[in-house]
Parts: sequence; C-alpha cells; structure tokens
Amino acid sequence: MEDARIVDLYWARSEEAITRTAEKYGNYCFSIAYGILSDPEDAKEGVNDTYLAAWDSMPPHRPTVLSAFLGKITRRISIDKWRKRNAKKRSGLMEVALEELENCIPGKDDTEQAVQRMDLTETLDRFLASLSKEKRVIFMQRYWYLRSVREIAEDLHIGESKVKMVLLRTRNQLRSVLEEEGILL
Amino acid sequence: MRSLFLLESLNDVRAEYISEAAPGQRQRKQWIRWSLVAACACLAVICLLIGTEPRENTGFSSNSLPLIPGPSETDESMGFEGRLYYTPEDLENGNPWREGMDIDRLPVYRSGSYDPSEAGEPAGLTESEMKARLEAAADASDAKILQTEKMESLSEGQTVCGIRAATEEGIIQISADGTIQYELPAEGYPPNSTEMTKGEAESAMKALVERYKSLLGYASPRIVLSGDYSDDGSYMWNFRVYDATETETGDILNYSFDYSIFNVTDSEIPEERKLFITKKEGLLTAELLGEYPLITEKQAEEKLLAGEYRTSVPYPVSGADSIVKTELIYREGPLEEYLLPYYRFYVKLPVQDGWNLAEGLSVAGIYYVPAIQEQYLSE
Repeated sequence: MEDARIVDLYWARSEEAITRTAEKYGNYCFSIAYGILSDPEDAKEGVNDTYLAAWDSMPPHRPTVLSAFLGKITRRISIDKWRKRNAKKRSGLMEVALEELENCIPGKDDTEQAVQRMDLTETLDRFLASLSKEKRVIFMQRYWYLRSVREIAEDLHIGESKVKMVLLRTRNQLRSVLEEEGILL
Repeated sequence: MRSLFLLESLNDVRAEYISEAAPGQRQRKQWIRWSLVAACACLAVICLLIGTEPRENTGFSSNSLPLIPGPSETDESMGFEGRLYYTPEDLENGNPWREGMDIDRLPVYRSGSYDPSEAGEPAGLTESEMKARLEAAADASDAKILQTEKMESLSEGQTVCGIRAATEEGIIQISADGTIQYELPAEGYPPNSTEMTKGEAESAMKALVERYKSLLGYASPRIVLSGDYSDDGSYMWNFRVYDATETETGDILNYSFDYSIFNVTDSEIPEERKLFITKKEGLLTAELLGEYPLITEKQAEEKLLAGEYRTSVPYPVSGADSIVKTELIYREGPLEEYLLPYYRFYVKLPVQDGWNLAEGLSVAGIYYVPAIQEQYLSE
C-alpha cells in the first residue's frame, strides 16, 4: 500500500493504519531502533512507541515521505530510551558513533551550548547538500541509521576501507564547517 | 554530551537525505539513474538534430505567465503510488474531467501551504486565523467549544500547526493548511469497510450528506463513490463529496481542492465506532498565478512514453498498451509548491516477485505528466 493511502487511514482514524505501517515499515523502524539500542526487546518497544506517536501526530500532519517521518520518530524515541537506559552503562553501535562524532566537534566539553538545535540542523542540511550523493549516503547510514561499516559496505557494494576513509574525511569536513560557522557545542 | 547533541540534531535534516540513504535501496535506484542518463543523452541528440538551444529560464514566459518548475525526476518514498483492480472500471473515481471537454486553459496557483522541509507540516494559516475558522466550524455544526488544545509542530522551534477543540458533540480539529476534521459519533452509519452494494453505499452517503449539510455548507453537493482493493481482495469504500458548480473548470477545481471525505470506523464495541468528516479547502492559502494553456491528452501520452513524467513507481512505462486509464487532476498536499493540473496515467505493471495478490488482481502504477504547455515549464 502506498504512503498516501496509509496516511489517509491515519486521518480516517482507522486502526488499519497501524497494521499497514507495521507491514511496510516495521522492519525499517526496527533496524533504526536496534541500531541505537542494540537490544531486540527495547527496539520492539521503540517501534511500538513509534506507532503510537504516529497515531497521535496524524492528523494534523500529512507526511508525504512517510518512511522519513516514521524514521525520525523512531530515532528520536530510541535515542531518548538509550539516554535513560544508559545513564550508567554505554554500549553498542551508538556508543561507537558518538565517540567518532566527538572528535569532529570544535570546542571544549564544558563549553556552554551556544547553538540551538534548529540552527545546527540548518548547518547540517547545508553540509549534507554540499556532499556528493555517495558520501552523503555513507555519512547518513553511519550517523542517522547507526549502521556498522560492514553493513554500509555491503549495502553500497564498496569496500569497508573506502567506507572508513569516506567517514574520516567527511567528519573532518564537518568539523571544518562547524568551526567556520563558529558553532561551539 | 556534545556528540549526542550532534547526533540528535541530525534527526531533523531534510527528509530526502533520510530517504536516499535508507538501507537496501541501491538496486531500485539504479535504473532511475540510468534512465535519466539515457533521457539526457536523447535530449542532447534531439537538440543537436533540430538545432534547438536550451530555453533560458527568465522566470517568466513570453506572455508574462510565471514559469512553473517542471516535474522532478522521481517522488522519493518507500513503496509507490498505485491502485489494485480487477477490471479498469474499478478505477472509476468520480472525476468530473472527461476526455473531449472543451477546456483549453486551467488556473495554476502557488501554494501557501508548501512545506519545504518535506515533513508534511501543515502550514499557511496563523494561529488567530485557525481560531476564527475553528469557531466558524463549531457554529456550522451547532457545537459549543468546551476546551481547546494547540497542536505543536514536530520540528523544534516551529509554531502551532493545528488546534483541537472538544465540543459536546465531539472533536473538531483545524490544521494550519485549513483542513478541518470532525470526530463524531458514528450513529447508525455503516463503516467504510462494510461489504455493500453500490446502491447501499450510495444510500448511506446520501444520508450522511443530508445529515451534515450545514457543516459541509455546499450549495450543490455531488457525491463521489469509489473504493480501493487491498492485496487480499478486500474492498474499502471511499465516501467523498464536493460542491458542484455550473462550469466544468469549477467542478475540476472543487473535485481536487474543495471536498469532504466521510470515514466511519469499525469496532466490535458500538460506542467506539466514530464518524470522521475531513473538510478540505486546498486553495484557501493559494495565490493564483494565471490561466495556463493545456496540452492534449494525446500529447501528454507522448510525453509519458518518452519518459517525461513524475512518479514514485520504480518501473518504466512499457508502452501505450499498458495504459488502462487517463484523467486530469490537480496534485495537492504540503509537498506541492505549485498547484497545477496533471494528466494522471494508470499503467498496468507486470507482477513482481513478492507481490502476494488475490487471484485476478492487477496493479496500476500512477504516473503524472504536467498538463500545461511546455513553454510554461522551467528546467
């Protein structure tokens, strides 16, 4: 079933909307949640919370790119869960991704957050637009979908060493952009 | 933690970057890339052969109508727009447009509800405008507003994108694009999923329109009955009504932009069954750009077969024989910056591995070709 019809079902408050969403996007949302939480039970819970949040937000929203809409919700919910669960203990792909990103952020740890998330998102949008499609996909698979280097290499039919090299260079580029724009986190 | 803040900030980047990076899509996109390369190569050869220079994009056409951006290469999404059918008659949808209508121009608008973020955020009306319309909607349905709740945007830093009001009768909700939705008791009306004959569905719809005529406010309500098949062959009725006018153009516009949909949900517990009435006013925040001359259906078909179309379908059009239906509609929604007429083609697709369809069901993919003449489309 196409996205627009599924959104129509949400607007019609038909519970069929959840069924159709689960059929079409259940695996997609689960992979995002699992990438962050590294635990199947937590990931399932994150996906179920996603369905609930989608139900609450449509209407008034009418997303055309339903995958991205659901993916954003799943990602946000999963990061929140990760934060609560991992207040003491950190593990998995999320931890590795965070360590990698830490190095491309200018400023010091105790620097007061001098940028609002919206401003940073705008900068990230511009940064992503400046990348070639291949680099952008690699970067997004790593830091949006939290996929491993091996998974990215397999998906894109390229070598793992190339993925690592692209990620290293892209992080350096991002660091330069954040420095140039005076963004201190 | 700064890196977590950065990781979270990535959440709201443009939807197209999220879609294009979705794992497991590489194979699907490959043909699109090559078909575009082929299309560009063909265009270059044609330009050489006929000596045509690319059109300069001045922002205006020769007779001052603003240029409209041409269709993008593809509509990004997982899955694609299509319809399931047993016979082409199943694709009938009450569209007032008919082949051979004496219409050579149609209006084009710039949408005031366009959402460049692609998140589908309703936009266009201010909070005070929404409040005023919400009160008018409550008056039209003889309902007294007891309590209101603002609907916040999903993106951080954004404004109110809707208001929900509780009334004695039910809930009324307005979105910033002007859409009003009523949630009311279903009373005795049959759910859309009920197995009914067309006559029974028509009777139910007539009763609904009569019951809620003051809420709809249509002078000449015209009922449209259509439906959709699911993979398993089950059928869901679509109850739609729009205000008929005295002109063909007026009917086409109202069918596309100003209409209401009735949805009656099903539940084993009668009290939980609800009636949802969604009233659309798609031109509420739109700006008229002008009346644009149209191409014919035949010319649109030639463009379709030449690959000049907009679609989310990941398969090319195999030939004219595969076209099962053509109609003229306006595309609407938060991702449409310009509201212009399109020829919509329903093209029968070959069955693919993994499609588990009830016996006899076919799939028609949907392809759009802009209906306005080419000189009014920018590169």
